[in-house]
Amino acid sequence: MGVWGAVTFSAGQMRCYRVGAVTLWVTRRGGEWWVHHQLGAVADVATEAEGVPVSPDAVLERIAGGQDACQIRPVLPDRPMVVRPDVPLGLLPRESLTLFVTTPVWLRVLSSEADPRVIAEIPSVRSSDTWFGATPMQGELCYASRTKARREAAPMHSRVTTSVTIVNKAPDTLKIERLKLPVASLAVYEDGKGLWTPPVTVTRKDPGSVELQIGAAPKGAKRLSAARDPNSNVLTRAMGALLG
Amino acid sequence: MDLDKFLTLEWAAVAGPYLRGVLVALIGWVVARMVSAAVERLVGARFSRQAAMVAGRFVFYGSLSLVVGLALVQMGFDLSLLMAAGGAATVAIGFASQTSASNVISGLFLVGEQPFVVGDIILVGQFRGEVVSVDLLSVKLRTYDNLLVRVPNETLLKTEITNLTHFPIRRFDLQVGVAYDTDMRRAVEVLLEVADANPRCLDEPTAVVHQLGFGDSAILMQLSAWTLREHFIPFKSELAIEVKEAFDKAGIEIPFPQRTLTARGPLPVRMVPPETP
Repeated sequence: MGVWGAVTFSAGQMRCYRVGAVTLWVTRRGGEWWVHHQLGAVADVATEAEGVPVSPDAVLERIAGGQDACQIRPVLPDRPMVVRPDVPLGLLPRESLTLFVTTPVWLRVLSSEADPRVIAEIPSVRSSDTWFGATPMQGELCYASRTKARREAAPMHSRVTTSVTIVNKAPDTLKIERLKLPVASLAVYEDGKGLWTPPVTVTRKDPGSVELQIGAAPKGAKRLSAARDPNSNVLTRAMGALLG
Repeated sequence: MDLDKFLTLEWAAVAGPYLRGVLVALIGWVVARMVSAAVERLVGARFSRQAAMVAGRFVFYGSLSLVVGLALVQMGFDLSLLMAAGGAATVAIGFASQTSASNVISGLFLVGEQPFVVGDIILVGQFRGEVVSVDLLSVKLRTYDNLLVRVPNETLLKTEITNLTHFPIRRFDLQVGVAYDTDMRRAVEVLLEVADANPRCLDEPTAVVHQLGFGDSAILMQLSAWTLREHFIPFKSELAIEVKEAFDKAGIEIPFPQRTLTARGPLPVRMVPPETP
């Protein structure tokens, strides 16, 4: 069965999940959830297996309580992602451009209930911290994406792809060197080929401000997890807060 | 006093006003504490810890002044006479309390300017510590080894204060010397790789390597890398260890102080036979 779904555990049963660079071992033992995790080499995988022994270097989290069923869901990181295009480029006035950005998933282990509770949340990749701001005095702490924003989509199983359309309505050329994607506002969907979020449109109306809009859910895709902060839809932000 | 007078409470007519005054003072002090605590909680819920502390102190001392006045009135003192007498005493008290008054006024300026707030880590003179309270006359710091340092507000206003936690990120400069026969470009690469691999090191602002010059014993270089203020202390140690390990692996020497001896002519050499036991 796939990684993203509900599973019932018998006492002492352990399942192993490999997503991206992280290997996760989930065990139900004596009314507790034992979640071991270890980071390894990065790979675009999302697999599930039984009988894989726990690595001695794995980190353990023990959570007591809950029922004998849990589910693994992909969620996006808890901070915005800063992405750079593969090559810095400019966008002429009255033109638009679509880039595809991938974000590493975090694995959220939830109890399988009507009102699920979070048992553990593990990043599939250890992302580097970065500062997004005009100066070191003001800005926001984000994660730096190690992959570049590309002009073509390449769906992945361990990373979530977001289509970002940048529209330049200002009278001057927009230089795109990096983009801050507010991933907390995006839900995660799966269409059988890979993981996706709703498309995002960033409109630069004048040199000082941009407007971000989140589009509708991808067609034919099943929602796997909701946005961390679903209250933002149309956001007007200062230019320096999204593009740089 | 004889027993009759004691039993008929005649003493109460004399002592009564003073007892009432003391009672008013005690109750008033308790009420002032409760009101100031409530104000501190209310302000703290909406504003910073420092604002809550200042508001609480203001309400407490203001209420206490009122309570003292009420208590004196209960005891039968005429406050208008006291104020008149106080005018004459003010000059004497003013001279005596110059420093205290200066500290109070300095404290007000500090609260208004806010070079730091409660919870910040500041460096004042030789003392580095966390600001635990901003009081009427002084600021209290808790040093890293858990000592309490009291710094008068006047001192703070007159000297340079370094606030180590005002901004969310900080840069750490690691200076290292490499041997003169080192491939400097390779050394720069190694330093940047170390910064890139450290998860606490921010991708941006990017880490840079500066050449500081040619020292007596080594070529001096500086790796400047940024991290969150919360990670600064462990980051310093980690980066130094990782740089040493990377240099060892890359065969880059961090030399000991060196001296070159130059002889202006042939050096006389004498063979000394080994000592026989």
